[in-house]
Amino acid sequence: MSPRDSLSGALDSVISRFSRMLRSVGRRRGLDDADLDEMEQEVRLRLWKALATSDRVRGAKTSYLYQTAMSATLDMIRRRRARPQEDLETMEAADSPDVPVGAAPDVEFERSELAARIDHAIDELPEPRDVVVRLHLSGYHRNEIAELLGWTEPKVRNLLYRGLEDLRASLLARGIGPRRVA
Amino acid sequence: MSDTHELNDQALERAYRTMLERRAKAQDRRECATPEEVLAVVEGKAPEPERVRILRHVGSCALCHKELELLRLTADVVHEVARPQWTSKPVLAAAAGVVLVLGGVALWSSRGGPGGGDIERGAGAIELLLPAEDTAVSRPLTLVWASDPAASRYQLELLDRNGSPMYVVETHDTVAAVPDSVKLEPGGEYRWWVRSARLDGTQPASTVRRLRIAP
Repeated sequence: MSPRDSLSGALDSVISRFSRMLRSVGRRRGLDDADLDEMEQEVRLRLWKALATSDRVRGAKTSYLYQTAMSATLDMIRRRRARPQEDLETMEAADSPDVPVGAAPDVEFERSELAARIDHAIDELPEPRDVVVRLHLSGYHRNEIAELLGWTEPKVRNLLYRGLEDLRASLLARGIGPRRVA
Repeated sequence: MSDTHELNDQALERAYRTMLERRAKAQDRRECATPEEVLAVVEGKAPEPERVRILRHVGSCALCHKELELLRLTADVVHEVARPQWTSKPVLAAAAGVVLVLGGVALWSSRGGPGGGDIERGAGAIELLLPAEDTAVSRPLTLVWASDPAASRYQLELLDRNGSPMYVVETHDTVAAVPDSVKLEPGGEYRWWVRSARLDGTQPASTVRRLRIAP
């Protein structure tokens, strides 16, 4: 086997494991294929540049792989921010479960007004309940919120329970009851 | 929580996410957290006030939420890919040996969980190793459980007789030392259990095991 083949094999082994995991976990977390494609390419390219020899690939420590992959992802994010139009198009293309294409203008208006009221009601929640409620409604599980905030799960559970109770009461006071929200 | 409330919670989530997607179309990114700030949160390096501030924004901005998810995914996947280098700790092998001598799996009998709360529990999917069931132990207290190959991290809970958490910790390790600051009464009876957080979102848990502090 030539040194080039050896390098390719070693690197492919690392990359293929990374790619498999990236796709399977990424899809479960709701990231789309375009994001995952771009991430995979970015990390692959970065590892090829960083790990120039097969010895380096085999001897690469977790911390080095971590820094390389995180740096690649961070650069991808910076690059995307420099061209915000792409994100805008991605968002416009995304399906909106609550508003079907061609929904009547008054229905759209009503729903956007409802969303604005919900947002305003969350703004008025006491800190830090508002943060926990926003993260929960964004789709994070209690354990994930606890990990991100560096708090215990029981603390997050308590804040979330109270925050949602406050939110329901606030929405009810605004004339938004269970039927209205549903 | 009633079924009606659960249904309404889902509707609330849908309405909120739709709002975030709409807002993103006109988002002024100069108001967003910087990529470096988002990274600091993912890596747990941001001080608490900063974490709260940044996550408050992330929870109200679909674009920053997506970026945080990309960074979090990268971090989790690298750790998962590197997992074989982290496992096979000698202490686990020794602990497993001790437990086998004592009767092994028979000791991990299933017990009822602590009362109250909505903590999800499995049917002993995570094996608790040491201390053995109902053993009198001395301080310092160290708890050991078997590795879950699919775990990204573990959460340990030490409960008092009433099932209230006395010590809760998240760790990547399969060993946890209970700090001296946690007051455990000599002769007191406690319970502990471990839950694994897997990358696929499932959270298998151990049974709940009793332990006693030596008088």
